[in-house]
Amino acid sequence: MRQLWVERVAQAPPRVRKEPLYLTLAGAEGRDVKALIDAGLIKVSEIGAILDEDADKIVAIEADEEAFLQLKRTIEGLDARKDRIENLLRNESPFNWPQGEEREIFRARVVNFDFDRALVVEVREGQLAFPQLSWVAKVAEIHGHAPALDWCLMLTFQGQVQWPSAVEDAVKKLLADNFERTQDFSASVEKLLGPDAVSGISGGDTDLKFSELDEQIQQCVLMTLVPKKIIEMVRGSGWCVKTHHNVRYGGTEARAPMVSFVFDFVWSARGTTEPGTVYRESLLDSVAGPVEIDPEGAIVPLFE
Amino acid sequence: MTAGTPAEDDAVEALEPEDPPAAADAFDGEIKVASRIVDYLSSGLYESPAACLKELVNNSYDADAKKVEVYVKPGADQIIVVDDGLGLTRDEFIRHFERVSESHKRDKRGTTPSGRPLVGRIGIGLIAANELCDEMEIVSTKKGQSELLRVTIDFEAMRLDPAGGERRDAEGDGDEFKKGDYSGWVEKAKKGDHYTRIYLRRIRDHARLMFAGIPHDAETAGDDSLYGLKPETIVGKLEDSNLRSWSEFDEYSQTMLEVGLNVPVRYAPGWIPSDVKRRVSDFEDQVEEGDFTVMYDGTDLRKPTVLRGPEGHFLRRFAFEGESVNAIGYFFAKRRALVPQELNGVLIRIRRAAVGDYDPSWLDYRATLNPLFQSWISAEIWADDGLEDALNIDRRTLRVTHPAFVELQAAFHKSFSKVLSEARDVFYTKRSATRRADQAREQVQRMKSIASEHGVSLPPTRTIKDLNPGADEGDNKRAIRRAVSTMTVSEVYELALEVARSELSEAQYRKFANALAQRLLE
Repeated sequence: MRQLWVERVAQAPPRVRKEPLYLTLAGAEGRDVKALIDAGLIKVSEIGAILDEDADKIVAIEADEEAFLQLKRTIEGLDARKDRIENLLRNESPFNWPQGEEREIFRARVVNFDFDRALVVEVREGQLAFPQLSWVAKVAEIHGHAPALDWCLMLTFQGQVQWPSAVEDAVKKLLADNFERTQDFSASVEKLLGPDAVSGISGGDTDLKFSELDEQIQQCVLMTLVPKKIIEMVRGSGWCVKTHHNVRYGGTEARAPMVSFVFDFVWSARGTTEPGTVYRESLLDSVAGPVEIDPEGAIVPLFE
Repeated sequence: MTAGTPAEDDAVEALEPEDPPAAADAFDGEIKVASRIVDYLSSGLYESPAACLKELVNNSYDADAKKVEVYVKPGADQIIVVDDGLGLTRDEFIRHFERVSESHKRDKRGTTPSGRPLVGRIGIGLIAANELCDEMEIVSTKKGQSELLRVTIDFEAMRLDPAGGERRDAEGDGDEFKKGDYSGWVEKAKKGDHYTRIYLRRIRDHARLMFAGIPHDAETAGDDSLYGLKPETIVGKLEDSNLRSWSEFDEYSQTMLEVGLNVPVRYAPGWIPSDVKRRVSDFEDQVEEGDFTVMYDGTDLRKPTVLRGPEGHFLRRFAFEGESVNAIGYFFAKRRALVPQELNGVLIRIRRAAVGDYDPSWLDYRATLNPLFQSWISAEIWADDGLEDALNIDRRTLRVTHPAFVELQAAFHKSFSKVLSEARDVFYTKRSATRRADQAREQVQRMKSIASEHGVSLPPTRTIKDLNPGADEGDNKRAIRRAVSTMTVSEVYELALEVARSELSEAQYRKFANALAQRLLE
């Protein structure tokens, strides 16, 4: 997966102002940053410290103090911020936004949100809420401030689905509504989840529990739901979302089941003038080519 | 956050705000500082960011830390100092900060649990950080304790309302000032942990620019940097004979060098020529014994004293046992001006930490005595606790009227005078005599060659000994001295050129030589 990330960073559009090239939740080891260094995208000194000339290309966010310090030790000269991503983004508030230099870091050309945890879904006042995806939507909005900057989002969650019943029911209803509205989407998802699951979702089968499905199917639920919600959240804002990678991996004894996505956000007038068409195109694209990374590291399409 | 084993609880934890401290674990208060210390601070003694930073590093040394990590780059928007020392409890923090004064001065003979001689004064060291930033967070846990202290000091509030901070001490021990508010709480520490982490945030602009190496004035600032280099590479840069001053580096590097000069880190690899290294091994052993490492943005920080160069050199030891103070040290002399110029002077260390920088006045030695040779020498003196009392609170200066200082100064000047004479003798007089002998041999050779061309046979070459066979070697040396003391105009001319050649740049030398030649022609 890291190799895919490196390739995307290498292909990122050139920076136009002082916006970073890469924003990451790097973790204690900073493996993705090391991969960029190994690929020659970030230059370092003889002791491995990021050179001044490349210091503003990369920003890492890490809330845990031990992990933050380990990261500083591992990659000297890295611009690391000891904070929670949600604090920096002022959480989901539509009224509070990061300002000044803090805002600028969220205009990075490539944003890597490797949450290494499950997708959080809540029901609030009868509505589904996806806090992590709301942060993504805020990042998209910040990129959309004039001059809008095309950007790439890499997103990773643990692939298990363990939601309360109320959340499960609400998610099933959301998907069922979308299957009904967009037949092509329903057909693609059926290839991913299988006919039984799709029929259970569409028919409102209360006995169908995501958490009881096979782990790989749970991953596929996320591979369906996450892109769909992101595309929906940025609908009409001017962004055309292209899904480059929709990937599941892990689920072995050595590794937890994971899902990862790589989206390109391209600013286009069509995003605002033809929001419905752009939304449908993006939605179908999101489930068009899901893949699996097998234990040997090979990329295998989930269906033809 | 890298991929790994799932932790279900994390999903909930990630979206919850940080746990507020329980009321019983929270505390707050005011930092009060004795007016005398405020006077020191406001007099600009800590105007150099390096001076403030070295206080924090020395605090770590006093906490028996073996390793300190300093993070400045990139941008110096925040500065982090992390050590693996003994740590601090809430009660100790409050005790140190309820009133920072000289009465907190440590026991004269104080040592750390591991036996290191104490260097700093914890309260004053941390208060010095107020010159660098508006906010400081201390996170610390003490060896053998289960509490983790988190405390934040707000210096900015007091800057906004300095008059509001004045207080009268009820005990009549002089005025005191509030320098900031603190608030914190205590968490549970991991068993066996011991460390102190200091986060300096909202770095003040002047300090941030200096720490980051962003030039205030692009025309005068040096641009070479020592950031991200190995000690060996730094030594290579410092021993470059073209480097005349540390100011040729950016301010990031100058700060790094100043911190390295002051704190008890090791000497750099190959810091002194190998032929004299053995004679200073006791100094190396002392810092080695301290087992103290500072990683400055990943660079293993060493003392920036690098005494090398292709020209001749000698080393003389200094040892003094007086009524009030004992000291040892060394003088390193080399032919031609010692560069970088920051090393030209005497550096005094007490308890392994430096007192300020190299003193180019040589403890107020007469500048007119052998001024040329004064610029060819570097010296280090390690004094014992006798000199500690003479130390001013800033640790950068000594009270010149203190008996220990007066005594050391006299002994030092006596030795320095001898070293100057020896430098003159070794590097100038002997070299001059040797050069004249070489020139004479060359003349003889030319005459022989000319005579040979014309078929003339010359008598054998004679030396002074031949002329005066009854005299002993001493008499002959005196005869030589007499000969060279009666110098001709051309010899004086040559001497002036020799001095100019060693002291001036190539361009300046040419200019001087032309002017001198013009003067002789007139």
